[in-house]
Amino acid sequence: MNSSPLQSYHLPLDLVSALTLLAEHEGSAKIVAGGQSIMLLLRQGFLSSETFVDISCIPELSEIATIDEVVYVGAAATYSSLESSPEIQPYSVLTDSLHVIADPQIRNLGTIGGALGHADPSLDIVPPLLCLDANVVLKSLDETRIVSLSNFHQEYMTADLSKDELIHSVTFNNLPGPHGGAYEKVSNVEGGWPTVGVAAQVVLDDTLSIISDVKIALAAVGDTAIRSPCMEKSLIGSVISMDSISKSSELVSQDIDPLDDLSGSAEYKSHLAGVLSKRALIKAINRAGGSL
Amino acid sequence: MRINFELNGKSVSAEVLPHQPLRDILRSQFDLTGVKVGCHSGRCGVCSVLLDDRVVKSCLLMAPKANGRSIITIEGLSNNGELHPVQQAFKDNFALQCGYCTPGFIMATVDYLSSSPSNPPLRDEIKSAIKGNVCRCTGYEKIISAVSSAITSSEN
Repeated sequence: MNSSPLQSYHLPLDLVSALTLLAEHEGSAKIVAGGQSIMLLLRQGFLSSETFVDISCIPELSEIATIDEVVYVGAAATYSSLESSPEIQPYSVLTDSLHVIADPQIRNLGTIGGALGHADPSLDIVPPLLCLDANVVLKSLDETRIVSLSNFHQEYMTADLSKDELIHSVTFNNLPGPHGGAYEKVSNVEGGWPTVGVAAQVVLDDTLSIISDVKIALAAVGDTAIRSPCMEKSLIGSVISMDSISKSSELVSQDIDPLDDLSGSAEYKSHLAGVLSKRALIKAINRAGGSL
Repeated sequence: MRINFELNGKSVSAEVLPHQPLRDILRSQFDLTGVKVGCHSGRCGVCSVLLDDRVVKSCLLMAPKANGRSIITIEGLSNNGELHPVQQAFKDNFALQCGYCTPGFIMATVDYLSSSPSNPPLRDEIKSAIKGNVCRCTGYEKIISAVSSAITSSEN
């Protein structure tokens, strides 16, 4: 491994110090959270940097809290800390996903902010957050920006993040009414990247028989993780039935654009998206108290 | 850059480069060759160590991250020549063939045992706990038995 002696690695203990380092290095510094993706990119030569700013020792960035009906997750919170956090347990769409991300070793270091900054369309954590209408809070020395996650990932591996900004936190609102969520994925190996991953989040009316709101989002079916408006529209306001779920699951292929790759053909992934959408939706409805 | 950390219970210091994996420091500067080299990409788990008592893959751990933290390798588990209960369980259950993956599996099991595993043990839960480790001699059944017996005996 070739390493320049000029490289420097900073471990700031507070947010202002981290943002100051980013500003001073005028965009040449690379932010490190858990390091689980960046280590591979460095090793493979896809990335080089002389300055690293490690944000994992900033206490504020590892917090997980619910304040005024808003769940707040610091960017450097690890997948493991989310898995064991009481704040996250009500959101089964998230906990399902956390349990199938890689393996315990990776989850002990990998972070939610690192994942969102990496912007890989195959990340398991993104579809559940899209279903929860999450916002991404970005900070630089001069400014705080709040961007909807659905706009944050702009294209393949590209996030709406300036070089002097860091991801501070991810937030989403508590859900009203009886709700349930689920995440389903298929991958070639246990703990591997998803061939396709589907998250479903439903809110039922008080009678538990009508879907008052639903969100479906998918990983690994295009340049970014995406929602499926066709499927959602067909379900909102409908009475829960296996027939309507089956029919709506067939619509998901209209919203996705998978590619042929080593994990499977585009045709197979389209088929899988339908199957997994149906499974995730059934599980989400059952968890919300609906019956099928 | 120089980092200071606790390694198997002793305070140590090392000169590291920012993106050097800690695995290489442990092997080359401290001669801890129980930390194995495998896939080099976070898939196989043979380089697993404990970072502040949680299992991580040291090939994916940027060395500066160890600064101020505690690292335990397979060499740090036994106590005055007495095997750690997880090591003993692997031995008793013949849970190895070539042995190359064994340190990694043991470190993952030590972390799993500290996180209140189900008792009586649940096979699926054990499989999730060790899914970051690969055995190419195809010996998973005995490894699962070893983890299971380590859980059972930890309650006694």
